[in-house]
Amino acid sequence: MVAHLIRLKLVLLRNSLRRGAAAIVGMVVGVLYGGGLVLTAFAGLVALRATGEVEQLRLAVVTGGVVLTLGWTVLPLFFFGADPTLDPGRFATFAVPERALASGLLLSGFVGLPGLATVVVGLGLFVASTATVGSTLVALAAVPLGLLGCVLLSRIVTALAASVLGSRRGRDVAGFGALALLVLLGPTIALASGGGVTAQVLTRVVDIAAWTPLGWAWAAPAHVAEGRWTTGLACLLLAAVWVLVLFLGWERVLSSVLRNPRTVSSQSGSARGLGLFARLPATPMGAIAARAGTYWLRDPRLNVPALTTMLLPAALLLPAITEDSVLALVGMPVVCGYLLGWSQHNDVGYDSTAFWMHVSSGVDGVSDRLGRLFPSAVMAAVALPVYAVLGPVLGSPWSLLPASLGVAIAFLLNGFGVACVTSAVKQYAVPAPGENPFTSRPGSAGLTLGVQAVCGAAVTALTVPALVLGVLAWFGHDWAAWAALVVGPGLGAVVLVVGVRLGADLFARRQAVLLQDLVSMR
Amino acid sequence: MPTVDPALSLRGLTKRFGDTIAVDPLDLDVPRGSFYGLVGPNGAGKTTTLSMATGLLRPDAGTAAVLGVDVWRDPVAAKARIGLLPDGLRLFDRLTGEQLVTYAGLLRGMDRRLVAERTAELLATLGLTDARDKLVIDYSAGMTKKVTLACALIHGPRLLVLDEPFEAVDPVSARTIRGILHGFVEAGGTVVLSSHVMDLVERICTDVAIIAAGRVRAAGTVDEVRGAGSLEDRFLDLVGAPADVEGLAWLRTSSD
Repeated sequence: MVAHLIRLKLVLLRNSLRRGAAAIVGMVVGVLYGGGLVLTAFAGLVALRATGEVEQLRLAVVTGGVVLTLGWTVLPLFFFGADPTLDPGRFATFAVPERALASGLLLSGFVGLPGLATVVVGLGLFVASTATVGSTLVALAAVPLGLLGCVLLSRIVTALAASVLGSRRGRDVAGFGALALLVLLGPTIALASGGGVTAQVLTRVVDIAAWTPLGWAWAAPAHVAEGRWTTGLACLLLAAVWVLVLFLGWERVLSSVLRNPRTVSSQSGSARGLGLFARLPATPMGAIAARAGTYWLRDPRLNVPALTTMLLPAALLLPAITEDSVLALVGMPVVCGYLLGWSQHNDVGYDSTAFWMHVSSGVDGVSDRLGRLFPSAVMAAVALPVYAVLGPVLGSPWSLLPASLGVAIAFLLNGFGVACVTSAVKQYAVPAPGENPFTSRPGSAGLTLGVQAVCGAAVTALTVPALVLGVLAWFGHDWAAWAALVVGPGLGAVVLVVGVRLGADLFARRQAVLLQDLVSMR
Repeated sequence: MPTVDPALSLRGLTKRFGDTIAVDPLDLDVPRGSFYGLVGPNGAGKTTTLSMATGLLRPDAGTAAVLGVDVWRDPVAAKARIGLLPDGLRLFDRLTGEQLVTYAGLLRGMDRRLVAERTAELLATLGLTDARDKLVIDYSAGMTKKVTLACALIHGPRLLVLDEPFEAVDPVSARTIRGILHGFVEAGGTVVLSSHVMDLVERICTDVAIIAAGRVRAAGTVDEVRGAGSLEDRFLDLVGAPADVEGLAWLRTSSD
């Protein structure tokens, strides 16, 4: 059974590469991206083993192990999305013994790129733990325990997250959780970059981490290497107990998922009357704007990222306050304009196959393009002025206000223009309506990265004139600030008009192709 | 006397997906005022054909014309004449039923008052008035088909193209839908529907075409096509009935 599940994972991996060039490009990018990092970590650990003292080795191994575990637990939730291919819920209809399924799904976690990376880092940690014969022996048991702990914890957390996110209430909670994490990220970075962390503090943090369940396995060989046999063996024992507890926990989560299978989209709701449809103009463009606005209010795939995008620039308040950074204050509206501008570059992808209604109605491209921008435009109309004025209120020079506002509006309008074109050219796969907003589509990473890179580069390139004026204003040329306020929005308006025209043309010619793309993505 | 353009005219329609030929030059004329059934086994190319006829899928070759308007050369004019109920595509199901039908009307550039009047009337006729404030995602399969039909009808099309309109629909809803379709045809409209339920097609359609492997095997009035036997016999005849079920013996031996 266990071998079966691992073979299933391998087949899934191979088939995802068969889907086409984009998937292979994505995999290559992923390998280059993550592979370099992993190999650097591995080489660093081996080098440290060759030269380092036991004290440094202990710090490195415990830090590496704890970061690895945290990475496994947190990253899938927020960045890559839970891997849905071996979702335990999918096994609900098969009569697989639960223990076999639990072990099989656990070990299949090591198959694939993240698994491979983990094993390589694990090997590095093992090498770094071989300071003495005793520590080597202990490491032989401790490192596999540590790795198992990683994957188990990650499995439990993703399975729980999936069930929490199944309810609408849970999604709201998750949205605020993501925000809280974001807010916490600010001070951490500020602390780290401000030199607030000394070697002493770091040692202290690592020592504490070594005594948490996340650190037991990694600290055990180090204790032995430094001669504390009892402590080391106690840690090893604790680590073994921890893995056992996790395994039993994983089994329980699994059996509850298998015995109470549920569909993620089990939400219900109602709304009285026509809502936005009654308030916006009764034209095709107004209707599309009302539909987009209604979706942004109701659909967690859209409103969670939207809220994050709106609030992300506020993270710049931290360096602004802790370090009196004027640049951070001036940057807030600019970042806001940049993020909101091209946020809808993949909007048709979120329609999924419901896009047929637009195709079959013969709606004109301009209405479709401009109507879709409504939610972003509303958010920008609220957020941009607030962020722009917040800067001078908190201490940046008022003379820079026109510059920051001008550059921000330039980014926003250029982003709108680019989004109008790209969302009529190529859409990448996004979670389908009702799907967990944190799932990723296997094999779509390459296309996603490609489209996003092109969008970001295009928006930045188009904003260069306004940016140059903004930089001049920053260096004290007051005329440039006002020039930025004229040139940025002016050129932005031109880009938007051209983008809408071009996008409308492409929409008219390519709508059937777009729809077939969306059909093939299901 | 000038010849009247058929409601739907397909000429040499072809579509390939990679190496698979989905529709292999297909010609079909649907006369005005007919209730036309398209039948065929699974994978015969019914959905592909209807998608190409309504502007959802660009054909590799051939033309499709609705009441004399080429769907791919003058899509806006052609689409204004078509009401469509596709199969297997999503709806904007985070809208309420009333919002969705209103959306379909406004997308067609209709006036707000007219949309409101027709939406209320359609929802009432289809028995969806009580559910109008519920999100479409919470609708049952039958209700979803009905609300899609309302979206297809709101702009007063001359040709209705329905892909599997009765699939997963209970008998009560099916009767409502049938009633509306008959009324539509009596008023001079044309209905094209696809199905693989022969009985149903035989009962409600005036004309029928049998499609298999991307080609029309037989077409005409129901009486012409079925000849002496039933439509199902003729269908199996043309498509090729499978041999008797062999094997699976273990299914018949119940051990307990």
